Amino acid sequence: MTERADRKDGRATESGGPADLGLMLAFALILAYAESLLPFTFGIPGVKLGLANLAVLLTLYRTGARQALLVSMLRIVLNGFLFGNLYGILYSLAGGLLSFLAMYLAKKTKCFSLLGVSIAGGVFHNTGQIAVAAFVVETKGLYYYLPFLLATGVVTGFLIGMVSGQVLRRLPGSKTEKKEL
Amino acid sequence: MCYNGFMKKSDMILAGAVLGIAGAMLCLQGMGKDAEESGMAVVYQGRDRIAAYPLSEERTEEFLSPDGGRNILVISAGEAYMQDADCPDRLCVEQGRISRTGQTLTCLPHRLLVTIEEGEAAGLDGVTG
Repeated sequence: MTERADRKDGRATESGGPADLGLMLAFALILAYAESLLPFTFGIPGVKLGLANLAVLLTLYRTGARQALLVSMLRIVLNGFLFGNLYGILYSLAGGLLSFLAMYLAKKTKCFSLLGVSIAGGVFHNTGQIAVAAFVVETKGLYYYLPFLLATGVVTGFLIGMVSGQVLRRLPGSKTEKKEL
Repeated sequence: MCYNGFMKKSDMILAGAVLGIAGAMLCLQGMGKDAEESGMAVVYQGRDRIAAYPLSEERTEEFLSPDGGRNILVISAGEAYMQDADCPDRLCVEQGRISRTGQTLTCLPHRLLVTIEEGEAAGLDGVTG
């Protein structure tokens, strides 16, 4: 990594700068696309691996909450326009917002490590999506899926948290102490 | 907080608590009894209850949603399942067979939902409105 040396000419991708955030956004989009290629469904609406959350988590830990929220929201809208539909955007925005809020608060309490933050994100992403789905379909029957969504949220959150930890340890320019991971 | 280099205690408490809640909810749902004898498969389009069929009768029904979607619901051997749907994800088809009260099949793109309810009087084979 020659990032430090590059910075002298003023063109470097400073952590949290526009170029860096653009990179993260592109990363999130690619992850979302890659995930859409994986045959990874449980037959339950709202369940996703949530690979794109990797980019949000990285931004949250490397840069800050505002930028992470920006990456999260932009990638959902762009992803929706590229591969999805309006309803998809709606579900995802609810899930994304709730998940971001949960991760932000979980991180702020300083009680949880990256894994806990990621698990909170996974759980709330799923519940947020089902809440909007229940609202759109106008039925409470969807709460039938809630236990499955909670459980899969823990599992996917754990997996994404593990990966994020490993990536963060190797990326330069993190503002987070290694101990916090 | 005890930090063991992998997962904080609080992380484990969080994960455990959520899994516990999920387990408890699942147990509560599992108590929904097998409604094979008296159950009805009730079909909702959005908020509207558009049909109800007793699980005890074999049948195949086609549903056309207002936005042009098509679902085929089959009731056979006391179970209801979605045989086919023309939505892109076909999650409703993958959701399998249901026969217990409270279980649901959902087709979000078509806003169609099938749920098993305790049937009252047998013999109703189509309720609209």
